[in-house]
Amino acid sequence: MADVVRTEGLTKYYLNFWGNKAVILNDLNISISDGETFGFVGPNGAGKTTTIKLLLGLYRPSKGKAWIYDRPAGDVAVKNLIGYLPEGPYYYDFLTPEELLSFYGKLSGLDSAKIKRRSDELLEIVGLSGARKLQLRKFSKGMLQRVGLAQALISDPKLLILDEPTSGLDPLGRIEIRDLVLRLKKEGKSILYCSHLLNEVEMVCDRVAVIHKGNLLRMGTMEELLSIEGELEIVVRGFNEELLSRIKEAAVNISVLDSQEALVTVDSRIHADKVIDIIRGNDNAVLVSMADRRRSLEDLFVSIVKGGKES
Amino acid sequence: MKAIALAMTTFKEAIRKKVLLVLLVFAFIFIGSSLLFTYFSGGEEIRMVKDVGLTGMLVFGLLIATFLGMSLIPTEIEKRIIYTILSKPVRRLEVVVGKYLGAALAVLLMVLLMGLVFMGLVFFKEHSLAPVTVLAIVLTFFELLVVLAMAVTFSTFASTTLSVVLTIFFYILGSSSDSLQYLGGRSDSPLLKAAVKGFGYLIPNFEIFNIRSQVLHNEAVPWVYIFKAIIYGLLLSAALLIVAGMFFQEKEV
Repeated sequence: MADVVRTEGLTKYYLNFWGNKAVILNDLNISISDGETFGFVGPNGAGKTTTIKLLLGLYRPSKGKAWIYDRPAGDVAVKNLIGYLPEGPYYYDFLTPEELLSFYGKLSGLDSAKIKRRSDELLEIVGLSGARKLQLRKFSKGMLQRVGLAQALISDPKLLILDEPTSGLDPLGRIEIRDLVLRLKKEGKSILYCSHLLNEVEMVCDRVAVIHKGNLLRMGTMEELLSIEGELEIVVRGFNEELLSRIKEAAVNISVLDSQEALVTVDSRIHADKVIDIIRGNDNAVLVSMADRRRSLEDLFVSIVKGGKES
Repeated sequence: MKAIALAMTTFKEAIRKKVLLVLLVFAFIFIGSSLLFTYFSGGEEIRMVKDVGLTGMLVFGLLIATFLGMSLIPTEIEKRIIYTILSKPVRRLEVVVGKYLGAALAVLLMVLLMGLVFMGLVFFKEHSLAPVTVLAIVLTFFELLVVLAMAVTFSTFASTTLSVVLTIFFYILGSSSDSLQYLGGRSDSPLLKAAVKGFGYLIPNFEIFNIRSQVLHNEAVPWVYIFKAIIYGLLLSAALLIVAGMFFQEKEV
């Protein structure tokens, strides 16, 4: 399958008056495949929005190239395949959601019948059917963000570019947007999800790129990035003190989850084998699960950003 | 179709601007103030009403067109609406043209409103309305279309303040181009003659739209002249918009 998004050495810098370079984005190489939800994470000012603008042709690259569906970035011909939700957007606030969607529908070249059908559908999906006749000036931030999502979806695009889709929203609003994104993901859309809210990215994305000060520091699937080399977690049910003290010899850490279950962390397969043998040798204990130990994206992010380029 | 959608939204947005309402009110007051000049003799008085009225329409029209034109595209960028617009399959020239058409519609509405008040006054004083008076208003509108296009073009590469300054500067230059040509033609230096002539081709000639003296003296203006002036205005605006589109195409937003 062809790549949905591909960049090769994508670079953006500005020269100041003295000829000094201010590098915003440095030699970015990423690709997003069809149906993938790709997280783009980094602190504010890392170069996420710049990348998006380069992909949309709002900026021109200083060096390198970008393609969307194998067409050069910014090509008008592929724009109907892209739905874009900018960060903290503003829409004509004298329009109602219906009018706004009609406006963007016309810009997408849809006929009025299609626009009507699509906007009814979308207002239903984003939960704004009840507010369709209300001017946007009366909307809360969360509602505006949902209108924005509807606007991005008007031409039923295959690729969604979401820039900080949940920023400035309250927890409930965030969950609503996140659920919408998950729903779109299920429908098979490819999604470029930019955020600095890591737990969200962790929940939504298949693959993540970590970017900091314009440099791509890490990229990989959630599994690759978050599992800690060699460490395994074993959940055991039906333990007693005697069992735990025997397991302790092979384990790095044991934490009791509740009266029934305990979580055992080991640092190698050999130690994992030992722990499993001990559990099997005990009539009351049951092995519930064993998995690679994962850290949170936040832990990874902090270690990467603080430590510079990690291996 | 895409340009029409942009035009309609731009029009709706434009007529919501409070500045426009304020300018319109001032225009009404200015045009109406000619009624105060009652101490002139009958013929003089009606000429006064026409002169003040047409001048008022032009000056306030200029302010409206410059104000609308200079903010048309920069506001979209500032408010970040341009991102969502350009993320749709729309060419940048279409954006320029669409926004321009919307603003032109707003200018038309303003000219119509001012024109109605003005024509009402003339009719009230003269008990008739010469076609040339109406045609003067029509030409004012086409003149303002060029000014609007000028302001839009400057705003695609200059700051807001500079756009205003440039628009006014070129308007004044273009309004005195006939006098400049006359002076240049009388010069002995062939170099200066050629320079002034070449300059004349570059600067829009706004005097073409000026038929005020014919209005004051109720003289008829040939239809061909009106037609030519309108075509001139439209072609000039179109050329300016193409330039604006080229600048906007290169702009990073």
